[in-house]
Amino acid sequence: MAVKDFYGRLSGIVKSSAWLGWQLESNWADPWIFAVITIIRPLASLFIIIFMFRFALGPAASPDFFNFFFIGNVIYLYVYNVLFGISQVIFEDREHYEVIKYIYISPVNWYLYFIGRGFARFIVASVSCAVTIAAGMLFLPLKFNMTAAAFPAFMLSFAVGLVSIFFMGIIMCALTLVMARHGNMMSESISGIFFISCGVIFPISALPEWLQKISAVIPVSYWLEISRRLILGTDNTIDGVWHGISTGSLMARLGVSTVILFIFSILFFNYMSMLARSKGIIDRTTSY
Amino acid sequence: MSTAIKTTRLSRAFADAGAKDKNFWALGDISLEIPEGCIYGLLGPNGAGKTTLIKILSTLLLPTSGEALVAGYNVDNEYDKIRPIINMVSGGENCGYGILTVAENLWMFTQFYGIPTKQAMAKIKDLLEIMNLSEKADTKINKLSTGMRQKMNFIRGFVTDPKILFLDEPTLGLDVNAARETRKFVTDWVKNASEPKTVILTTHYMQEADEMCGKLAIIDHGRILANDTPKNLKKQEAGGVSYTINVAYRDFDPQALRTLPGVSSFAHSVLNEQGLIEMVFNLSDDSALAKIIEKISSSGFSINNIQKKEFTLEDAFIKLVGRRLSGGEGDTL
Amino acid sequence: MSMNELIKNLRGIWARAYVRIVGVNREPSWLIFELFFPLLPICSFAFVYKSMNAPSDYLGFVILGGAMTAIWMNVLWGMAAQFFWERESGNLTLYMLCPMSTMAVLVGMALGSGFSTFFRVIITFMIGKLIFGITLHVASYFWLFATFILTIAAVFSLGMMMASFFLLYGRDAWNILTVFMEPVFFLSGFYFPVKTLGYPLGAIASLIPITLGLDAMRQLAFRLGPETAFLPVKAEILILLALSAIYLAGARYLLKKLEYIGRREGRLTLRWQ
Repeated sequence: MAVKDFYGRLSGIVKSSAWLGWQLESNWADPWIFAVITIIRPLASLFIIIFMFRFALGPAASPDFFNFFFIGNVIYLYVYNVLFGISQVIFEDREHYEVIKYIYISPVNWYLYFIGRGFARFIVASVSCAVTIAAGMLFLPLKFNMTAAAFPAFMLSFAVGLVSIFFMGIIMCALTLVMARHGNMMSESISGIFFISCGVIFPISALPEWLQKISAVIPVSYWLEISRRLILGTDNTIDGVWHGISTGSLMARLGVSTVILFIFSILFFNYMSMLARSKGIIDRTTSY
Repeated sequence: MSTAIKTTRLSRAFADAGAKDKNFWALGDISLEIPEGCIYGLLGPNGAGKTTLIKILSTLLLPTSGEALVAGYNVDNEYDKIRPIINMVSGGENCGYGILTVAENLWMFTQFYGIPTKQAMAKIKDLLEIMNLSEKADTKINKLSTGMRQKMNFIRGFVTDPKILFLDEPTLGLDVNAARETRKFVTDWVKNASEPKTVILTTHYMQEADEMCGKLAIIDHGRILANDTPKNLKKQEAGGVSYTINVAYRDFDPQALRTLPGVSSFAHSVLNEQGLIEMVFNLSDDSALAKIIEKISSSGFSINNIQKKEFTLEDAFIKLVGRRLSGGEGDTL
Repeated sequence: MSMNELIKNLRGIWARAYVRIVGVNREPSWLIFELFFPLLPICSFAFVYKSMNAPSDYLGFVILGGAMTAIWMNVLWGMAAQFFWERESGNLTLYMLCPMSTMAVLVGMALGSGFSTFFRVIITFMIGKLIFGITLHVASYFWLFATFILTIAAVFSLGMMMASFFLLYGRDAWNILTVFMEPVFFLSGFYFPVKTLGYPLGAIASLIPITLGLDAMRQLAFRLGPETAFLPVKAEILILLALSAIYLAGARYLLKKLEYIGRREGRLTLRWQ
């Protein structure tokens, strides 16, 4: 009974904060404007890279490049949205609505509250993802070769990868707690680090060697490579750094790094929230 | 004495959020004339229309109908002539940028009024001293307490030396001492000014209005219910003066006092077995009291105690509005 | 405008610019957030060209475009959306009460932001140039610098026009601004020459001053720049001048108009939208 109550309470917090997050995400404009914005940004990002390819390689570019960056770009939508969404909560609640102090003193579990708020961005990312894939299949040379047997593995890696992003979001959120408003740029920037180092739109093998070593320990890198292999139905993607490493091994690495992230996120979040409290900056506002 | 503010049948409607195509009238047919050189109070419960009136007069909001003149200029189309001579302070609100110091923030606002830096800094220094904020002059405002930030906002209102100043609940949230300092500062500012200064003050605090305002208007539901000096309002609206007189004799018949001239109303009760009678008189003015005392004495009875009850603005307010200022609609008496 | 009015507005401009300049100096963490981190996506796009063995000038195009994103981001979030924050903090009400023109507040913000952005673009570009070993072939330093300044002026004029909408609108407008990020990075050719889009789309994109500014600067700074030109540099400079004037006049008109609507509808002081 106690366990049931406990889980009931946890899901209650996540549900209510997810609801709040969704209200804040979607309530500010007419639904059609919201839809346009959710669609137009990822499509524009996609077109930036398509036109870079067209400019550099001409119309006869290899489809391997296209498939590589397309899948990277789609998965990255989740990375960016969830990371940005969770850390943005601090700015919204602290500087815009000025309610963070009331949430802080309430008995709600902060960790779960932020996870819940991140769900709203997960939904936004899913819409953007669906639209991008649809555009890719209709207007661009996108071809999926995923076998039925690979589907459960894909779903598993997707779920674990997504969970790891939520944990990273919490770490960012913790950092934001002790930062001024332009920490807003930080969430954009950290997603930038993943963008450059995880092989999103170009192979990790193009990076300098020292940076390749960093890439190899970020869960997003594993997540992207696993997704590419399972979607394209081949272990030989154009990124040389992963050659010789089996998909199973990559999945194990993704699982272990996610567990480490989970533990670290809890410790780091608690430390940062104590630090913010001791510095008296839980409810500070910045402006210039 | 010339007029600082004049409004004629001033009204303001807002779209009613609850019902489409329906307007909510925040102000209706407000006609006021405020002479310059005084502190004029606007007293009313929440949602009475005080802040809407101040927003219109301070050029932030256009009226729906009617006319408002500030220093003779129409708020509708001559706002550029009004803005250099007015300022506004809303209590409980902040101003400026957290990254700047107190002095820098105040300096910034003086620049928006075109005041030369040297002159502005001297004025800022004086005002910070008067408001006991000098030692925080070089502190960033995001490091100040709420009360100190409010004091800084208050100084901002005066640093441009406006002819007409709108103070919207200026002491809201201040502690007792700071509120007292603030009230004294405003009163002295108006009294000691070399040229006439006018303050339009909205407040929830009856005592503040009574103490500071030369004249005040009681507003409710967007309409002015009374407009006079606090003294007259108390006298007229609360019904003159009231006395409680105790006479110690069981056989005393108080009924004869009821018909004396100047007695507006009368009630009595026997307080104890020894026959102490308590009589409560509402009189049109103090002169009626002499006749009552004379009547009691000439009947051979002695008066144990006489107590005058001072009517307050609260009494006048309750009579006019039908409820206490501090309470909501449910407090109807 | 009388002399007194002019001095009052100039004082206002300086005071508002001061907040920005001092603000940037007092929060040194901007060096990390506004210099180091923005380099990351820029480098990513440069690596895309590198992975395709593209000529080094292409990497230069990306570095220059990426550095110029600082201007656009500043215009969106530091200029256009600033009125939203000003209203939330209560400062907008006070600006409206002041006898100076609201335009002076915007010009002050633009100058303050322009000052910091100017250095940010140059530093970001120099770092990127160093990392990827890009060689410049500058046709004329004078015209390159003039085009850069003119681009900043034109883009900030557009920013002032956009800012006026925040007199009336709140979070909705703030969110709509996000539409002007990636789509503008795409349309204005931040990471590839705008000519690649074709002339009809490029012409529409030219309404955003950074499109032509960037194209002209690439032509003036890189050996392969003229080969990828959308329009001749002189024409681009003339169009930029015209756009600056149009957007400045538009900002002035819109501010007056929207301030009037704001006063009529009581939206100047509306908060927590």
